[in-house]
Amino acid sequence: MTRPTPVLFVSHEGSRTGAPFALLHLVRWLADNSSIEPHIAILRDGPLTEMFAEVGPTTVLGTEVEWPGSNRSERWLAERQRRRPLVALQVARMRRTVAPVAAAHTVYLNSAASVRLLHHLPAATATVAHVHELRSAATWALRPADRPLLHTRIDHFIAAADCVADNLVVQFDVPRRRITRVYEFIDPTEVLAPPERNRQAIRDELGLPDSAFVVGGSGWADWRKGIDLFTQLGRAMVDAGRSDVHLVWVGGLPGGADGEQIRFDIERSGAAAHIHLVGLQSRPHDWYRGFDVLALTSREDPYPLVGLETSLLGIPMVCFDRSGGMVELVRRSEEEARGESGMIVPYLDVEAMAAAVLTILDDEPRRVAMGARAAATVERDHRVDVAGPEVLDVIERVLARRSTGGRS
Amino acid sequence: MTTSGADLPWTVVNLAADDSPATRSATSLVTWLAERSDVDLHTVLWLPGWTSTTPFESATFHDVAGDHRARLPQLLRRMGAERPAGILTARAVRSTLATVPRSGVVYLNGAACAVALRYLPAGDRTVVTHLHADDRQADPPLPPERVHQLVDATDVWLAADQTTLEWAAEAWGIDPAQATVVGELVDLASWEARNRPTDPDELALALLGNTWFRSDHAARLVQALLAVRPTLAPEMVWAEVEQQDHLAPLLHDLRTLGVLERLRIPTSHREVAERLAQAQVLALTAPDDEVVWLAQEAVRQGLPVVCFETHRTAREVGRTIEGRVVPYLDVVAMAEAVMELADTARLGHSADREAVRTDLAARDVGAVGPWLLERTAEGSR
Repeated sequence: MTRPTPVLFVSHEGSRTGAPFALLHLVRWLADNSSIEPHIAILRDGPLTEMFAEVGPTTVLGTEVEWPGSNRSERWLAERQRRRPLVALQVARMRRTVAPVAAAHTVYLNSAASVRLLHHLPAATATVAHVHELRSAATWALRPADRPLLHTRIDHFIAAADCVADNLVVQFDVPRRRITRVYEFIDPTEVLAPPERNRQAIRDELGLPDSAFVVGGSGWADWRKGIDLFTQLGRAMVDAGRSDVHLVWVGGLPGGADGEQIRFDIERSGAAAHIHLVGLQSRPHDWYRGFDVLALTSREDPYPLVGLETSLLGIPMVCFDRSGGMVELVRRSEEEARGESGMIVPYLDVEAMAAAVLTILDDEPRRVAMGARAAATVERDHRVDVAGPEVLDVIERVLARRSTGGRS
Repeated sequence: MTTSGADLPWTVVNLAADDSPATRSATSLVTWLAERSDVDLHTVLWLPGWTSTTPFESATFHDVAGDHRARLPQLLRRMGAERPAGILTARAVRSTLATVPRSGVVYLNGAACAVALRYLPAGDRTVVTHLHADDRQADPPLPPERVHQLVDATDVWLAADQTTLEWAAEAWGIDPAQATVVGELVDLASWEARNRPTDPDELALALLGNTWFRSDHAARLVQALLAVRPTLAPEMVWAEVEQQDHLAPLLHDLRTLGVLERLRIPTSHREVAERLAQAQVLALTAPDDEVVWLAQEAVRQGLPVVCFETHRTAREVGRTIEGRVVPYLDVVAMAEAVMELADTARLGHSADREAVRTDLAARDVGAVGPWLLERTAEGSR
């Protein structure tokens, strides 16, 4: 019998968002299919913590948005950009909190935002970093003090898409040989589980007629996910005289000024009656089943799970060129299936996105065929039991190299 | 021999290097006078400002502002020794002004510049005082003794507008018949130079908004412009130097659109002014926001503006400023309006453009300047 290998998996938060969900799928698969014994550290507590705890010992290290937070003297140092003493103070302050995970020999950092934990761990740990972020998100996630760690403390990188790998090379000078691309993955059984509500029930809840088309959007409603562009898309639909088209956004909504700005735009868009923000949903897939097309208005999205999940449900998508991994998915699917599986429109071109969405909505056979091709691609390439072995292989290679005294 | 104002030395006194309408008016006059080889031009800046002093340095420059920054008097003031500090500063100011001509014309750009009268070397000069809206809004108002000194000394009164003139007549008892409303001086020639014929695919676009999150549509406007006219090669400038740490979303979008290198982010107010002077159109891309002084003045001087109907500037468009108002979120309409105004600028005419031109011509330094030289020459005879 193989001896279990403990690995500390670090999630930057326990929120119901893409990267933490992907990690949850991965640790479940590894626990069931490998000798890896997952231990989990979560930098910021969230609703997924309980699910992680069902897989392995789980330690929550904080509740702050910006782990590890800062006290008065640390803020003073931060304002003066005194990075080294700042990190030293934070390490000292967090020593007791981090102690339960500090003995880890092997660490799997899930997202660039988790890299900062390395300041608090022994330098000898073998480390794999699974990066999901593109340029903007990586800029926010990696503080200047964290960036040298990419070169000194990480044995190997897993990139969630080719564009993520390219960005690691261009933005942070990571050698390409130290990067393995493993496309983002989902657990199909969860997505395809029998819904509690059907397509009609969702239309009823929103007060929409049976004949209404639903254009879906999803994610935390912010600039990166393009909630402003989603609103403009609604306006374009109304301008096109399409009162039969409704737009539904599934995902968390910011409060404060950001939330007010979203409402301001919707109220003045002339499409307020056609735009429905339904918030965070415990069963998002039920809502996705109500979509006729996914309008991915993201400006920057490495490989959004909603794209994989709606594709698996046979819902075609329209996305912006140069916005991230979904462009790779649509193009790859088209090459492999020798037929269109979605549409890519020029970056920020909301009018072109509206035209593409209407083209798909108004041609049901084409829509169904596109959705079927997209579903086939996801079913084949983006299951956790396809990606799991690839990730496992990276971890084992890093451990093997470490055992012979080398780094990637 | 006929005396003209150009034969006399001129000393232009301005309060500080800033981007207020009054200072821009003085800058227009200084630039115009500096181009005349027959004028011995001196300039004085009284207080430290926050924009470039370069326009004032095109003449013999007397930097009184520097005297106020001298270390010893500052140290004395911190120690509570106001009187010795004042004596030292006054001595330094008199030294700085010692070479100001004792004859000719002293042009005080605003009543606050009356303080200079106390320190200028004694002489026989014609004093011109140009009153601006700032003078009647001054808080605290000019002290009575300074008002008396100014009224006694001034030979020629100019006013930026009728309201200011009437206020000065009532508050200070000056004779309105002896004063002339000349507006805030502008350089019509450079305004017209901005409208030189250009390649239809060239666009000098000034952008001003609030780029954080959705409250700005600058990037969408650029995308729509490229969609409206794919061969367009826009040269863009962000029309302020404040809040630049909020530009990350805009920079991301422009980088992805492949036009990031076409955006210029100024590092000084002077650069903003220079870029605005070259711009064909100013697009206000936020739903609403304060418009900074420099952009306001550029618009007042005829730079056409495009904004959303939600913007506070919208109510002035078509009335006092040239431009177009488009429905909120209609970025394509905004792009079309930008191109229309840019094309109009290229053609050099339109009804509202002519109205703006007429307004500018009335306060053009090219017209007011010669009149002022003649008027001051009369005053000196």
